[in-house]
Amino acid sequence: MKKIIKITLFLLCLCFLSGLILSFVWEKSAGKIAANENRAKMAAVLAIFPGEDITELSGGGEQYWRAGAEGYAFESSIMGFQDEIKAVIGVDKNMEEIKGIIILKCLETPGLGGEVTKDKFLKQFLVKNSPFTVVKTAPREKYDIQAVTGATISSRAVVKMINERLARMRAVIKE
Amino acid sequence: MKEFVKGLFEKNPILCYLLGLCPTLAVTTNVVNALTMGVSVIFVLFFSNVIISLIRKAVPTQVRIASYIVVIATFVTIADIFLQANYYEISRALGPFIPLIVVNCIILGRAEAFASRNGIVPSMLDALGMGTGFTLILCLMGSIREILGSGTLLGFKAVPAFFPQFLVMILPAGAFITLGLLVGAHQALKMKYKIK
Repeated sequence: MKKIIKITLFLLCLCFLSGLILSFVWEKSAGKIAANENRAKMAAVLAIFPGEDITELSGGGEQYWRAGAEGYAFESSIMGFQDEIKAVIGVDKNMEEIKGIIILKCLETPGLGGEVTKDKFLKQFLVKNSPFTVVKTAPREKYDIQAVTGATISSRAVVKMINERLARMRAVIKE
Repeated sequence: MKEFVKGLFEKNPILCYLLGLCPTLAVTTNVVNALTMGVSVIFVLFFSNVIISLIRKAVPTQVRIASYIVVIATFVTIADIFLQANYYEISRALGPFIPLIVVNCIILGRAEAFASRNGIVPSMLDALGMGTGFTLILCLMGSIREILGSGTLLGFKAVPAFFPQFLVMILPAGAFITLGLLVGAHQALKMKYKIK
């Protein structure tokens, strides 16, 4: 009985110290990381709409970007298999065609879930409109998205993220 | 000094024990990624070896692996946050491989096999030696694969224009081929000079 208390106390102290150090390090770098992420977001918007004038807008409690007269872009995130998946989605000005999707953050298993960041998966969405459905075989309908083999959860997450986000942003931007 | 040198060649963690193969195979498509990975591993290995060597008498044997993992994970997270804050592009290129250093068996292996049984100074030297050995092989593989696969070194053109580029070298198969040849060469050298 004495032993178990000693072990518990030891692990407790160790974890407490680790948490203390990490929160200190995080406090120091959170600002820089946020600035970096912002820069990456702008770069992603510019990659979808090259050469356009990007203006940041907000409405309905949402932030989004307008790229000249070409279209809109917005950020999107969802819980994947391991951790949050974050992306920038670009749509045309009528919100009827997806112009581009750039994944900003994805910590899914490399080689399996990680494949959802690759063009092979993402190009299935291009020049199409939501809602999309996930299928495991070769897509038959226009809005079928073929899941990455061995990564159904990550694929479903990305599709769900795009469907929900597009529906929401359509309502916000139309206003 | 013996503790430092052994990790470089004689007991190189990749070539001799085949430890830490996941990052070895995955991030060596170019030299910059390989170097960043190597330096992160040296950092984590060094500090976790120091801390584990310091607390080795206080750690209850039943939960030693759990304690080591907490120490290692702390330093990996520091390395990850540092890269995200200061080298964002590299951090994105390495993606999940930095957090995955937590489960890199070189670090847990050295903690269990060396730092938990030796004093601070030998543990430091051991960590630096093993880390440097790991980094050297990573950079070597990165250079070979970058030159043959993309025709560049550190991003600069490294081969004459007529030299063909072998796409297979930057694909996973190229990693296995390079590693296999390096392990073979290592064994051949050891046989030749009769190092056990």
